[in-house]
Amino acid sequence: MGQRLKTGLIWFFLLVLLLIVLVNRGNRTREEDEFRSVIFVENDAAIAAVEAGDIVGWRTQHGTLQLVGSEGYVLVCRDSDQTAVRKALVDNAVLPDFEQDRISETSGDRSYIYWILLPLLFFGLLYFFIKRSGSTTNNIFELRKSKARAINEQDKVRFADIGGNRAAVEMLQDLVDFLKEPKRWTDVGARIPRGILLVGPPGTGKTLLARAVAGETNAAFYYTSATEFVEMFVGVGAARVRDTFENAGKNQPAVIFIDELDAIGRTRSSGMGTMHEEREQTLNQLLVLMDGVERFQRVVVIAATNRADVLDSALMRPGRFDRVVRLHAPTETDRIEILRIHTRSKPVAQGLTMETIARHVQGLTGADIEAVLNEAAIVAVRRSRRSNDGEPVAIQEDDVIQAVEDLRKGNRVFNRLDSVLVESVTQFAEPTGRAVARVKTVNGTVIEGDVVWMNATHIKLRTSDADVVVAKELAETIEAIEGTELASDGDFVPDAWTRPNLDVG
Amino acid sequence: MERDLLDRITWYIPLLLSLTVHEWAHAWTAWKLGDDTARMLGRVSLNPIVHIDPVGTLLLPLIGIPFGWARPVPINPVRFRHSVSMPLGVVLTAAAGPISNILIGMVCVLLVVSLPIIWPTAAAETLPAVIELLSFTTMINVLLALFNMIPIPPLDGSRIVESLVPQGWRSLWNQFCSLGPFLLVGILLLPFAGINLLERPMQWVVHLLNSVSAMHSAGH
Repeated sequence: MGQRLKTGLIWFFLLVLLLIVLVNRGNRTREEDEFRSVIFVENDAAIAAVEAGDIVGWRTQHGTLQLVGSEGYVLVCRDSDQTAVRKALVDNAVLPDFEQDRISETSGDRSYIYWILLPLLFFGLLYFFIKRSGSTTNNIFELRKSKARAINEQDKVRFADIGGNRAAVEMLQDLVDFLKEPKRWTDVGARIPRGILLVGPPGTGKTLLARAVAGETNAAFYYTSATEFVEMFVGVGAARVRDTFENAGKNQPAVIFIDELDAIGRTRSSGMGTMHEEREQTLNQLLVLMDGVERFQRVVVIAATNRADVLDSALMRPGRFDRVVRLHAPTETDRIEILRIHTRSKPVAQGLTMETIARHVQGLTGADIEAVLNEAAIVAVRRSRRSNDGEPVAIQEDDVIQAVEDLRKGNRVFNRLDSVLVESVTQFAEPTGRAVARVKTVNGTVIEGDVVWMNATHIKLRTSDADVVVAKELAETIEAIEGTELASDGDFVPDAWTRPNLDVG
Repeated sequence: MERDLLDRITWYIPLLLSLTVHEWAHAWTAWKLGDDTARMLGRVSLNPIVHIDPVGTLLLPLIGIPFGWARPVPINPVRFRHSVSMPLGVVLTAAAGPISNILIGMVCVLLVVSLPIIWPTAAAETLPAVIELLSFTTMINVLLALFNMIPIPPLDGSRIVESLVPQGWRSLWNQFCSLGPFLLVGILLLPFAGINLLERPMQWVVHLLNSVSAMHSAGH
C-alpha cells in the first residue's frame, strides 16, 4: 500500500509539474511566434517600411540585412545589393539592434552541439553495454579488488576461547604482544616473525587461532582464502594479494589470514609449461610483499594449510612463514578444556563430568567436539520433549553417546558411497530426467530401479513390482545405470552423466 | 535556457511514463505467467524510480535527446507456469513492453480525437499545447515500440527472435548476438549520418496525427 501511495504521489507531482509548464509555455509560444515572423522583402518594400517609421532597428546576420519592425516582425532583405536600404536607414536615423534573436542563436549553434553530443552518446552507450553484458565477470573494474573480509566486533574470539593447543597459543602470544607493544621488541632489535604457518588436519582450530590473535590485539582481521586468489585471468590473483596488503596496510596493526594456503603455495615447477604461471605469479607477489616492506611494519600474515608437505620451501624462509605451528587432534586434557568452553552455554546434567564426555569423544577434533555437543543438546531437547516431565533440559551421558553415534554413522556412510556416482544420481533425481540406479545393500541384496527421489539419508527406487526406500546407511554401493531423458530414444547413447543445459536467456 | 528547460520537462515526463509502463508491462506479464523473479525485485510497479537506468533514463534526456531506455527486467523462463512453454513465455513477456507502448500511443490518439468532447471548456491557448503533448507522447511511444522490436540484442525484439530460432540456427544466432552491442550503437548513430530507418513509420504516425487534429480543428 505504501508503495502504491508513493507511486501515486510521484505521478501526481509530475502531472502537476507538466500542467504548470504547459500553461506557461502556451502563452510564451504565442508571443515568440509573433516575434519570430520573418518576412522576406525586396529593397523597395524595405525602404518604404523604413520611411514609414515602422522599423525600430537593424542588424546584419549571415550576410543578410534584417530590419526589426516595431510590431515584432523581422524584414529580411532579399536583394544582394542593399546600399539603398542602408542609405534609407541612415537617413531615417534607425539604430542598429544588438539584441540577438533566439532562432538564429540556436540554428547557428546546433552544429557544434552535435559534436559534443555524439561522443557523449557514444561513451554513454559503451558504458551501458559494458555494465549490461558483464554479468559473468560481474564487473571488470571490481575484478582486481581483494575479496578479503574484515571480521566485525561481535565475532571476535579470544585466547580464552581456545581449548588445548597450548604450544600454539604460547607461540602466538608473542605475536600478540608484538602487535600490542612493538616498542618492547624493537628496542632489543628483535625482529618478529612476519608470517606464521598453522599446519594441522581439518577441524583442529587453525582459523580459530588466527581469529584469536586478531581478537586479542584488537587488530584488523582480514580473512581470505587462497582459493580466492586463483582466477581465470592471469595477474588477477597477484593484484588481489596486493590489494589485500594495501587494505591491511591502511589499518595497521592488522592480521591477514590466508586459509588453504596450499592452493597457491605449492612447490613452484621448473622449466617448461605455463600451466601454473598464474599461481606462481600470485605466490611470488605474496612472497615479495611478505619480505618486509617498511609500510607493512605491523601487518602479520597467518596462513593455514593441511598440506604442509606440498608447500614451496621458499615460503618457509626467514622473513616469510618462518614459524610453523603444528596443530593436532586434542589430547585428553585438551578435550576436557574444549568441552568446558563448549558447555559454557549448555546445561549438563549433574554427575556427568567433563572427563566422562572426553572419553566418549576420543579421537575427535575440536570442531567435531563442538558438533557432538550441539547434537547432544538437540538429542536432549528431543528426549525431554518426548517424556514431557517438565524437568529442565540437561545433556546426559546417553545423549552424548547418541550424538557421537549419529555423527560417526553419518560420516561413515558418506565415506563409503562413491560420491561421484551419488552426485550423478542426485542430479538426475531432479524432476526432468530419468535415472536408473543399482543399490547393493550391506547384506548383499541388489535393488535396481528408477530413482524416484533421493535425499541425504534415503533413496527411493521404483523396481518392476514395487517402490523401495533404501536407507543409504544400509547401502554398500550405489551404481548409476543410465540417465538423461534422451536415453530412451535409442538413437544414440548419451553420456549418462551430463545434465541437459537448462539456461535460457 | 529557461524555455529549453520547460521544453525538456514537457517531453521528459511522458517519456518517463512510457519507459516505466514499458518495463512494468514486462514485469507484470512475467509475473502473470508464473515467473515472480521481477516481482520479488519490486519491478511490478509503476514507480519510475525502480526502473530508472542512469544512462538511458537520466543521462540521455539530460543532454537533450528525447529518447531512452530503462533498466531491463530480469526474467527466469524456468519459473513460468507449466501451461506455457518457455519460448512462448519469453515471447509474450518480451512483446509486452512494445505492446504497452503501442497501447499508450493508441490511447493518446483517441484522446486527441475526443478532446473537444471531454474538455470543451479548454482555453484556446492550452488546447494546442495539450494536443502537442499528446502527439509527442504518441510519437515517442511508437518510436519506443518500433525501436525495441529491432531484433538486435539486448532489445526486446531479439528476445522474441531468440525464442523462435530453430535449434540448428542457434550457433549462428549466438554469433550474431555477440555483435549485438556494436550493431545497436551503429543503429543509434545512423540518424546522425542522415539515415533514418524509422523515418517511414514515423512519417505515417505524423500523418495520422495531423489528419486527426485537422479533423478536430475542422469540427471546432
